[in-house]
Parts: sequence; C-alpha cells; structure tokens
Amino acid sequence: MPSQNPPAVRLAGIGTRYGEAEEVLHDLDLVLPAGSFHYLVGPNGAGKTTLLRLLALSLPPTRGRMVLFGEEVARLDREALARLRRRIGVVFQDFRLLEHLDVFDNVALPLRIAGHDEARVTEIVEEMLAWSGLAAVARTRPGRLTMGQRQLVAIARAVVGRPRLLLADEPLSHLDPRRADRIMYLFTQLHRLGTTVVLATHQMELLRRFPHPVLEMAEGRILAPPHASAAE
Amino acid sequence: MKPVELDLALAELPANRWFGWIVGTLVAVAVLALAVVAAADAVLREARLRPVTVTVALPAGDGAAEAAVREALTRLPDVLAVEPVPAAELGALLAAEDAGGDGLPLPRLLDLVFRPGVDPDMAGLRRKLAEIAPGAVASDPAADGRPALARAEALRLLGLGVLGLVTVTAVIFAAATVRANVRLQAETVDLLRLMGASDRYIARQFEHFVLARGLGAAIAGFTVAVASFLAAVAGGRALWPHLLGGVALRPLDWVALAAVPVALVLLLALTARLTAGRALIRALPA
Repeated sequence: MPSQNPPAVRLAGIGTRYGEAEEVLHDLDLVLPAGSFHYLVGPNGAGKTTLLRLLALSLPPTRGRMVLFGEEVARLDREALARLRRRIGVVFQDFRLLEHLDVFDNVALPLRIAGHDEARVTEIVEEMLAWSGLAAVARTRPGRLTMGQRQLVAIARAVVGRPRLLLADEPLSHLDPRRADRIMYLFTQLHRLGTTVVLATHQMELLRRFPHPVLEMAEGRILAPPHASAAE
Repeated sequence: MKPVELDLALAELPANRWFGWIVGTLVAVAVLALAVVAAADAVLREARLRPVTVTVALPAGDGAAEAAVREALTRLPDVLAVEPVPAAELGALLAAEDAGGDGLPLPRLLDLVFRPGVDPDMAGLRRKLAEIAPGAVASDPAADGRPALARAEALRLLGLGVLGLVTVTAVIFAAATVRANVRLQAETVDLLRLMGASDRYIARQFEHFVLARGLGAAIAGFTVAVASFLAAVAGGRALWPHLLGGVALRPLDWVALAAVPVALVLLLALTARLTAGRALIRALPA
C-alpha cells in the first residue's frame, strides 16, 4: 500500500547484542515503508526474534541509527518511548500472557494502558473476542486454555489497539488451518488499513498462499533486499 | 460488574501475603501511640488548669507577725491568695495523724494559692521565708503530683517517639516491598512497558495495590487499637481512679485518631508510587 508517510522502520548500520555477549545482529540496513507487509524468514538462530525485539523497542541497538515512524529512537525520553511503543503490537512466540488475568483482561491490556475508558474497552474487547472465537472463554484464565486458544489471545491482544506496526513471531504455529487462515485474513485487513506488518515464520506454505515481500535473515544479517514471495 | 484486576499479580505473590497484617499492625501501634499522647496531654492539660497551692508552716508566734508574713507573701509574683488554714482543719489533720500532743503549740499554716499552670519558685520562696519568718517551712506543691505528671510527660514523649518510629518503619516497609515486587514482577513489568505503559502507569499499579490492600487492614488495625485503648483506660480508671479519673479524649483527639489509618495508608501509597518510579528507572533503562 503506497504511502506518503515516513517509513514505519528505518535502520542504518544497526548492531545489537545481549548484555556483554557477542553481537547478534550486524550492520542491518532496512527500510519498511508504512503500511507494508513483510515476512521474516530464516533458520533458527538467524536473528529473526532479535530483530523483532529490536523493532519492538525491547532491545536497544548497540550501534547504528533506528528511526520508527520518523522518530529517532535514541533521542526519545522514557515518556516518548512509551508513547511510541503504544503504536506497536507484538505477538510473542511464547505468548507472554498474564496468567492471573482472564482472557478479557489480557486482551484489554493495551487499551487500558492507552487510557481508553472502561466502556470503550469493553466494547472493543467484546467485539475482538467475538471475532476471534474467544467470547466463550472471556472470563477464563489462560492456564485453562488450549495452546491454540492461548495463541489467539496473544494475537487479539496485539491487534486490539489497531497498532501502526505489528510484529508477529510465529503467530500461527499452534493454530489449525482454518483458524490460521482467519488470522491471516485479520493481518491482511490490518495491513490494508495501514498497519505495517512484519511476520516471522517458518511456515513456507504461508508465503505461497498469502504472498507478500520476504526478508531473509541468516547469522544476524538480512541477506538481500526484500523479494516477493509471490506476486502481491 | 467485575472489578478491574491489577495488571501485576501483586495480590498473588507470597511476598505480599503479610502485607495487610503488617499494615494493620503498624496502624494499630500508631493509633495506640497517638491515643497515649492524647491521654497524656489530657492529664497535663488538667494539671495546668488546677491552681497550685503551697502550704507554709509558720513557727508559733503572735498574730501581728503572721499578718506581716501574709502581707509579704501576697506580694510574691503569681500568688493569687494567701489563706490561713483554719485551726479546726489543722486540729482535725493532727488528730488524724494522732500527733495532737496536748499543750504543744500548734504551727500556723498558710495556703499560698498560685496562678494555674505556674511552677512556683520554691527556692525563692524559701529565701523569702527565711528573711521574713525564720523557721517557717514551705511544702513542695508538686511532691504529690510530680511523679504522675512526670509519667504523663514521659508517656507523651514515648507516644510521639513510637509514632515517629511507626512512620519511618511504614516508609521503609513500603519502599522495600515495592522494590522487591519490581524485581519479582520484572517480566510482567517488561511486558507492560512493551505495550506502552509509562513508568507512571506501572507505579500506579503498586499504589493501587497498597491502597486496596492497605485500607481494609488499616481500618481493622484502627478498630483493634481503639478497642484496646478504651479497655485499658476503663481498666486503669478502676485501678487508679485518682490518676485516670479525669482522663477523657476531646472530639479533636478522636478526629486525629481516625485520621491515622487514612494518613498512614496515603503515606504508604505515596511511598509506593515514588519508590516504584525510581526502581523502574534503575531496573529498566529506557
């Protein structure tokens, strides 16, 4: 989707490491236009999750320049970073659901953090849960859900606030084909509405069935400029 | 409608299981300490309102000399009146003591009534008596009341000390609890941060926990403390009616006591918010 907005992501010469360990991402240069949809592929240990953590502002770069939505990340104070993070939705590979909260409250988290009033939160979350087939378990804690349901909750939580950048790490790994298709339809809809989507996956058939540009990673580097998985 | 749960599982952490008990105990101790301060104040206040009387025993002599002494004593600072103790009262006193020796001259007693709240200058008075009536003896007016007043003053200071100690303990307790919780909940805190929660939002979680969990405990602590105080005063009155008979808290004292749980919980909440803010900055760089 072409856009006049600044790129959602612009990385230049980025490197990062975990603590004092060796660098895990090296010299990354990447531009993701606003409203684009990219798959992120590569073998285990290629740096996909680390790149997603970097883009989610969970892991700071140790060198290079990182600009999200036109804002130079290194120059932002804590409040501004918090505001920027509210524009990013993340589906974690391990879901990271809050076990003491029920499904409803887990999904409502980003809306409450963003300061929506409770009536609006209820309206949006109920709609989201109904759409994702989770309405029946709205008051159930995650510990009593199946893996597929937990993954759906994680996805619902990531998209409920209509993020401008959606980062999803293996978001369909525990879903049956029917539900996976439904979620891909949801991601596509968000993308059409202007959300920039980066979806890390090992599921190659996904790339064929829902074609979008692919970013291929290996050993902490992006191997080549994005190439199409199929005609978009 | 289901109440909104805190994003952080603070209520479920084993480390917080004793939070309510500790807050309740701190409030109970603070309320008792303030009640003791108020009661001691009441004793001291009552003592200050009572005129101070010094009894002077003059050696036997003629009436003219006694009149001169009375005249001189009346001019002393803060003396309201100088009243001779009636002979009949004196006789009764001596009879009660079984010391009324026949034929012995009775000393003449004068009551010097000082202004309420005044601590008479006994050394000055004795010097004056030595000058105008050699052989005269002045009783120490505070001899009877002094130990009770000293105890009341000591209790007042002790109460204030305990109140201060409870306040400091409450602040340290809240700060330590929050710091421990930030560490224990690091993963959830990090998740909230990734969703865009500001430090203020996360700090408010701790504040809400302290308010929600602390207020109920504080009210319980207050109730227990007030009941204990009233029981202690009632028991004390039965045992030492002369000491505690007149002790009664004023409405203002009760308002101050009722404010203790609220004030302490607000202090805990404020400490929690400030500590969480600082702990988050230390634990999680931007």
